[in-house]
Amino acid sequence: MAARRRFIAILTFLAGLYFLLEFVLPPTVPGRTSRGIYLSHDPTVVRLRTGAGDFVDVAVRPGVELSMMVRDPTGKLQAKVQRTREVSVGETLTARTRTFVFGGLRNGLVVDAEGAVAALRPGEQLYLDGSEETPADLAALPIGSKVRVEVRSARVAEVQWGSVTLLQNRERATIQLGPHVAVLREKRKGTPDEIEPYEARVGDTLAIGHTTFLRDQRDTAAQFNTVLGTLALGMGLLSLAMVNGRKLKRSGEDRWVALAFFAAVAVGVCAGVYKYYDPNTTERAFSDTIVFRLLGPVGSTIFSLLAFYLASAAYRAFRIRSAEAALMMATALIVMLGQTPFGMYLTGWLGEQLKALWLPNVAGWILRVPNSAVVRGLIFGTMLGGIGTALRYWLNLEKGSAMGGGD
Amino acid sequence: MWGWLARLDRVPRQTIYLLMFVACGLPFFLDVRLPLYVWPETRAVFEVTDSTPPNKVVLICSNWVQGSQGENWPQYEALVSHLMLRGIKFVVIAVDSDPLAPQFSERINERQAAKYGREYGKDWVNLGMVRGAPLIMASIGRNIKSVFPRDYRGNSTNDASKLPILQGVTGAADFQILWAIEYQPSLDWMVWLDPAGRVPVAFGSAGIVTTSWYPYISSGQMKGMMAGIRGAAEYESLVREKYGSRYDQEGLRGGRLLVPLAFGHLVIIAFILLGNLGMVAKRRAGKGGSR
Amino acid sequence: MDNANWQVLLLMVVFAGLVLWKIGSARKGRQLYIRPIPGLNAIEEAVGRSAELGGPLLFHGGIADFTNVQTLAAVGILEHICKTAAKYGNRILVTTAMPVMVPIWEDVIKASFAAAGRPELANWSEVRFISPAGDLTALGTTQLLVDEKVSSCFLFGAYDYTSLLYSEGGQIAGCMQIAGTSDYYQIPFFVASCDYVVMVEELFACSAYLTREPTMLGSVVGQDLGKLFLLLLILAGVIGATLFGSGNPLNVYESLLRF
Repeated sequence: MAARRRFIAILTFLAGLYFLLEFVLPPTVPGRTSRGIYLSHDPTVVRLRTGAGDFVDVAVRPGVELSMMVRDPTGKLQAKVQRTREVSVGETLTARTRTFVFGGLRNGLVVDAEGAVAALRPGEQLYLDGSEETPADLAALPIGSKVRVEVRSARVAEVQWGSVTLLQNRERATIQLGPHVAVLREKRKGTPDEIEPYEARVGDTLAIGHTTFLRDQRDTAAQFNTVLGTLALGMGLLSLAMVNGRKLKRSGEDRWVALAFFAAVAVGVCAGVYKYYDPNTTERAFSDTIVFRLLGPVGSTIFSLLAFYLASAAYRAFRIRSAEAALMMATALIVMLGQTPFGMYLTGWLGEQLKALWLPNVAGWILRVPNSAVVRGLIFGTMLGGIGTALRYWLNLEKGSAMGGGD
Repeated sequence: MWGWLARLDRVPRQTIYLLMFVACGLPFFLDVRLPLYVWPETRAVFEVTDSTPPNKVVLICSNWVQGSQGENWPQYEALVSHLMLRGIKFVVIAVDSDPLAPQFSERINERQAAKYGREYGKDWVNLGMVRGAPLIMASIGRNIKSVFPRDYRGNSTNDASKLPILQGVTGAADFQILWAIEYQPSLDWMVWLDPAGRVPVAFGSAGIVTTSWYPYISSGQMKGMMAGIRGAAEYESLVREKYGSRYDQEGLRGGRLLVPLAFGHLVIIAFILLGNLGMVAKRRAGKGGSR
Repeated sequence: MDNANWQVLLLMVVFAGLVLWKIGSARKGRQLYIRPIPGLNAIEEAVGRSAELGGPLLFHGGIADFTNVQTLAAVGILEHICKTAAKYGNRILVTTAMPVMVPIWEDVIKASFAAAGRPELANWSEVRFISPAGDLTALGTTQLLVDEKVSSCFLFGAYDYTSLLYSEGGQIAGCMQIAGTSDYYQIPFFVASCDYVVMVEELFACSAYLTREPTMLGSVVGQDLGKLFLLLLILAGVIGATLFGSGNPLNVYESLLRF
């Protein structure tokens, strides 16, 4: 038990520490960051070796995209675009070197819409934009279609890191790029954007330096959260199935309730799967019936209960027993009437000069001024309470017997 | 006299329920028209949405399901009908919602698309639901395609032939405005989606929750909102004001639901007043009895 | 999240520093005062009433999962309710719409009853996941109030429109109800239909108030100091803006607070 608690405490602390550091630390290592005004740059060249043994040099310029193929949750291959600084020797990449409009074939050579020869280097292949699977068939390719030139699944043989020339203290300085060196464009307001060197314009203020790695892991942290959240759905169903499974074993009325539960789960699962079917199929009609004709009306009915409950609760509780209660009631009546068209009925005759006294405007003033002040006060309280609670959990100061707090 | 009025102090619950039912139900069978005053919060978001340039999309986070459809459905439909009418491209997502949320939004999208002849993938796309807020919101702001590798119908988001709408869309810089439509949208959108604050945020929330958004509107962190059914009705009237008869209001709910809502309010106000009258009468009657 | 600018960093250090400083001084044995919270004093009364009437207690921990601080606060309250219930021998029903919370509530009940020396009560108690839809869970819970003849009801945590479904359902079933949330727009509903309401930040002070644990007391006092700091900052900002106007370099606070 004690070991488990310690484990929870350490894990909580580490996770919190990541977010704190990620928030507090700048994106690049402070001592190893150069700042200056952008003048020019020398592009990074990635040398790729294809499966057939051809070498292709790809200079990273506008229009060039380096991506890695990863499997998405459905098992299909998906391109994940990479920054140049993330490229490392030995990994497998797909590079899109250029895109153009297909202008037909001339003497067996591919030409673009202007008639210029768009020669393909060994290892490069032509793909119809949008179709991902196989290279385009040149003979059947319609003239005028958008095509892109790609090098598929090639290993990175070598990287010649480029450089950026900056104006620093009225002198030119050439900053060498390298793996994990990020280029940030500073803005007048807000946090800087990370860019590729070719996106910089002369006169931009850049900060170039080694990344602290924390920022790169943000998407991984987000995915962690997604996975945990999705697992929870299955956990709920499991918990319900276990409770109802136990009931199924017993005899008596409970058994029928449990049976109804499993039948409802089966129907729900079918409705969930069939919702992806085409609109005119029976399956889709079944799913729509369950969701929109069964669940929808049930939900609406429950929500509408609020109107009835609200009326009777307001009637019971809203009694003028003091001066404060009278003030509150007057405010409530103004805001309620101002929100409905009756507000205009009652005060619309006042005319444009007395527009400020129209009930919707008075209600609006109450909401925008006194209400805002109250809400701000409450937000401060909630926020500080949140910070206090979060700190206690993060530093394992919470003394509860349930939450891994050290008793 | 006081004795009779004192009975108003304890009206049975069932009587209040019945009158509420009549007040909310009757307007559906009668043709009642009420004047509408458009609040500045609604006008502000309408104007930003209406001025979407062709190279940008409207991002809608539609998290509502059957529970709050009474208020969120009219809002969502008012917004989508406007976008479809104008041919403004929009991307629908759901974050940390009930898994049914995309099904609800898609039904409305399809219905409005049929009215204005819009095409899936070209004019709008539904990317389905994802979990993991608030971190995932930041990922959406950086690269929406990496968060949603496939859309709700199973197409790859990188497939330009099926989803041309997404071709030029990467992250926050490509969104004209974020609309979060839900019972209570998350404040995290303002902080996480675009920390630089380039994307205006608009909420479509239940009427009761709107009181908490005013400080954010006055500070400029939020552009504006649709407040409950009233907001939906106002939005519809703004679209009609600008585009006249081109706007097909058949089936839209905002303006229609506003009337029962107004009468429901009247019942509540009436019972609060009657309850107080009853309380006073009871006190008077008690004093009279002791004399 | 993008990186903090120095103003945010400063505020974070100040707030966290105040909390940690007060926790430290409380641990060293300084006496700290928190004003009484009536809703929490009433917990014992509600548990006692339920024991007299013979029904179980019902606890609902809000609609949010563990990433919400209000749920964390609710955990502390359930613990206290369990310990009080152990004295009277009540059993507890917990309902939730959050599957991920089921094992957590179960753990809290088990650990608290065990700590109070009545582990057998945990076996009689029950955590029920009713539906992932909040409205259906609310309806299921109100039905449970009638079926199980519940006489005291505790609603603590984050709430949405279902707040009134729970509390008015309890009112109709004749339960004594104590509610607490920091979702301020739901408070009117609770006030209208519950016996006691713990409002907004009082919720975060609950576990400190109930346990009288120096660490927790310290953190609550630290939060209040943070609020005082904010108030002074606002006051200074208002004076600065009034005297010097916006955009004047003498208006130091404006540049300080420009995020």
